[in-house]
Amino acid sequence: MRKREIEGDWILGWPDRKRPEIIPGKDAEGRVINGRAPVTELAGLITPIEAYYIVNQLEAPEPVHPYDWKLSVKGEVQRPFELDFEGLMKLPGRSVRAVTECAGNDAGFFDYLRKGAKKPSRINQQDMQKRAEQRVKGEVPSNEEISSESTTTCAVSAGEFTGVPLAEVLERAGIKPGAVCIRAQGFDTGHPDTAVIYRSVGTRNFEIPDPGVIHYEKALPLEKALDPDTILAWAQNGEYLWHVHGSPVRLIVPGWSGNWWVKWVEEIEVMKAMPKPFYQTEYFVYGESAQDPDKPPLMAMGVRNIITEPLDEDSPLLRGSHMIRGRAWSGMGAITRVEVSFDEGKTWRDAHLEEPRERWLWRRWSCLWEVDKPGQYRIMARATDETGRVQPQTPWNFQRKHFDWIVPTDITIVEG
Amino acid sequence: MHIVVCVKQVPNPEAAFSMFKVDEAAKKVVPASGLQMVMSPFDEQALEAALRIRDAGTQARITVMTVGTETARAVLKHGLAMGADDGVLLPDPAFQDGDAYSTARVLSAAIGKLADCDLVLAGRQAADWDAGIVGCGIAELMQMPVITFARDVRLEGRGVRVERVVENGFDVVEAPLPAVVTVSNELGAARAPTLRETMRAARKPVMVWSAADLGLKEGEAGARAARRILERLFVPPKKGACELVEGATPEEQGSNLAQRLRQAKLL
Amino acid sequence: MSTGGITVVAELSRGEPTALSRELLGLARGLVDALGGPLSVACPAADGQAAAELIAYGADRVYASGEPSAQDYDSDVWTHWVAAATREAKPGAVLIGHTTSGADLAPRLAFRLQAGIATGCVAISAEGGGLQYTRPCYGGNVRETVSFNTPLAVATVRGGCYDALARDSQRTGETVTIGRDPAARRARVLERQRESGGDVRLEDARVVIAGGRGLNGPDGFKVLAELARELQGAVGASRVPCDLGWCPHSMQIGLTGKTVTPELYFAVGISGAGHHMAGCGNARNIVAINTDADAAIYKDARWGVVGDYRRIIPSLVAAIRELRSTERTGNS
Repeated sequence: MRKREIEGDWILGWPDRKRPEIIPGKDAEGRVINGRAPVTELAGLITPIEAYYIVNQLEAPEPVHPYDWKLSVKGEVQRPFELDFEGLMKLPGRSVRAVTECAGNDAGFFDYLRKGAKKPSRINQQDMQKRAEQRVKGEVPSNEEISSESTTTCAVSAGEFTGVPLAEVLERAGIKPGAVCIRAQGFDTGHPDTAVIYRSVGTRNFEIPDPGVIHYEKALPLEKALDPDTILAWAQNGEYLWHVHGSPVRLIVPGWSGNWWVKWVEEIEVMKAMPKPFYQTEYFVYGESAQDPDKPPLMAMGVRNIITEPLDEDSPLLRGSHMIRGRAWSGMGAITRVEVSFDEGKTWRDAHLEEPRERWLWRRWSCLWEVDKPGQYRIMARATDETGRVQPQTPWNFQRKHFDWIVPTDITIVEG
Repeated sequence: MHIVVCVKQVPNPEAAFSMFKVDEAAKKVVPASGLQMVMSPFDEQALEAALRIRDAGTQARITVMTVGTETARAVLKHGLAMGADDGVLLPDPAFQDGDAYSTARVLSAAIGKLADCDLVLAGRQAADWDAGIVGCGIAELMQMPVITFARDVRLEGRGVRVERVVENGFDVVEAPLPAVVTVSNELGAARAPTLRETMRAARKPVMVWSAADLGLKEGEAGARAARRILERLFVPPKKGACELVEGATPEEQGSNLAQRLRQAKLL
Repeated sequence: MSTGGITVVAELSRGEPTALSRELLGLARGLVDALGGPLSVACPAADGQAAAELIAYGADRVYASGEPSAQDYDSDVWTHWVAAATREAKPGAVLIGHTTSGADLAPRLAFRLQAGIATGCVAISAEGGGLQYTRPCYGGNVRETVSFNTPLAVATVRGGCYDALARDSQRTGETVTIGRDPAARRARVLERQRESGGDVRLEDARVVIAGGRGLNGPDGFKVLAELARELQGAVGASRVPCDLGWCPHSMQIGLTGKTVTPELYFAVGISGAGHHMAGCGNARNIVAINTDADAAIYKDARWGVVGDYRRIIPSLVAAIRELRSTERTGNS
């Protein structure tokens, strides 16, 4: 392995390794409104909050102090009520460790594998500040920008969330028979940014209806809402939620993509018919094209796997022994197996899968590679989850969401 | 009860004077870029006086008001974060480049527009020009009684009761409302914004009024209405060389100093 | 600018014109000599004796209210009365001492009379047929010189900037009575609390010893008091010890607070910021004692001592005592 110089910093007065930090985009007042996680720098399972990725569909709202906050529980319930912060924390709590991933993460690999487009890098290439400024100024990106390759990577992180199961709160309210979903609404508002959707699709040749200024909201199917791991969290990684991550309370929907993890929750409404929130009817939907009459909303993610070591950028490597490392996760349960191939998928061998085996948290894996002959090599890895699903699971869709195909790592081996 | 607190944004008066440059030709004091702009400290204390009235049990709406450009919005935000309820920003260029008289005119018009103001509070003087005129000016223009140099402000009955600082003590002065009170540093430290009020401040309303909104015509505000003509702005030269009194020990320095003073016939 | 002369508003202390009022007369005399017009004084509480003193110190005419008992400042009544006196006198400028009374009265008077207003002036000069007023600003670090486009201007003047005229009991002048209007009063003074003063008032002291943040605590004032006792001086402070509660606010010397003009001023643990120097800058001799050799105070001081005041001052006091006792016994 070619040794990279480890960058340093001063930590609590001592010289130390530099710590991973979010790659941020800021608004005109210097407040972070988006960001990517330095995924290739992560050492363990839990992503430090300073490095956790941020995506906002609407405007990041002005903060609400926890003592000024109330959660309204209403709709098809026997006992609608309001809960304040102390009240929420008094309910029987739970902690959940899970991967948060943006639905559009790794979208660029679709076109790379289908059409031979430029291969995205695992190291963030997006100019987050430029994106933030465009967003703040309401600038319309050029057609070229819209149709260029999607470069989104590093929109994934994993955390430990502490809060109360949504089911606990709903039990207090008493769900009426006939309820089908739970609408969760945040106190963030704004005008949906159509540029984001056009970029996701890669073309501007379709209409997006304008809903005006809306609250961010998602309608979660009842079964997932009642899953004990679906929680209303007030803490992340051992501390109270940061404002940028949805303080005072964020909805955690493990295994489902980040757009379901409603931040800044202020209202929970039980409904007996599925409503049509913008962000599960116009965006975050499957379909062959914008005109496809059947565009179901994205829900559980597929079977995901990334090789974090070596990266393409580490080429060339010397002949000899190399440790291949990666992490795998699934939208439907724990990863049970990871296999690696060094011959374009002809043969596969099991990688060492690290404990613990958890439903929603990614698992690190490793595999020793002994390579003698100089030349070009492709390393592939595939994961299997506890339900038996093997990647890939997600077909190409026009919004290029939930990518979970096998992405080979290309390495050149040299004599040395 | 509606209390209006008039505040001003000034360059940080705690900053070393080396951070300022006096442009004699342009007759302007130019703070170094990066010098923090803050709410004039006596104005903070005027707002503190209003907040103490509320803390003591009076239901009061507290408005912070400032004549200044968009950058002055930051002092309104600071005032809202200390606990004021709403703000009035008066950024019309027609209000700029005036003097204390024209500023008092604009503030009086804005206070008048609020129509239900019971008490006007202001710092005794602004930390940049140090003039101490606007508070009394508002009182005269609005024909209200004014009490200056307050170190304590309370409401009593239909009036305000003020402890007014004088050279060797204080007077207790009472005036019927509506009235103007200017506040001095003897009131004590102003409170720092809490996290909660800082977050709430972002949602508090700030009204922005122009000359037209206030019914002020050309020549009734800003430079055109000013009475003062700035003839010269300069840094006074320092006196001269200081003679350092040396000594092997502080005790020796002390006795050497005594010698010098005696030689100068000052003892 | 009219040639209506100048009106000085005088304050009394124990029935006599204050030192500052006399300084204003000295200043005003110089100005009317240059520009013409009478020099009148408005002093609501002046009785015959006080009026005679004011005339002896330079007034041509004294306006009084005929109610000498009402000496204490009353904002509404004084503003109304001084405005009336000014309308009678029709001067080009009204000069008032920069005291808590003057700083209250002057802006009110100016607005009531449609006049310009300059506060805390340290210099007033006749230029081109009119008056120009120089005052400190930006915490005392900068000076502005202003004039006005109005026929009348009101100015407050800081103490120690001008000299009173020599008292001349042969000077003559007239006294005019203008009645006060108690109905003008809306703000009422319910009580007046005064500190039992020390032996010497700060404003009148020949020697002042002032302490600042560098005293590092209220006990430092005890050390200063020793020196004050030895030199029959008064103890003062910069703003920081007052705001920190180390000493009463009445000891504050500065842009806000008192202006002192002693012959000898000790600045102990005081950095010398403009705010403070505005209150003591006219001291004839400044001694700076500070542990910070780079403090700005040394630029204004005649003598500087860099070191710990807790050791310097007791030694200074002892040395002074020694020098005085040798003088008394005729030894040198």
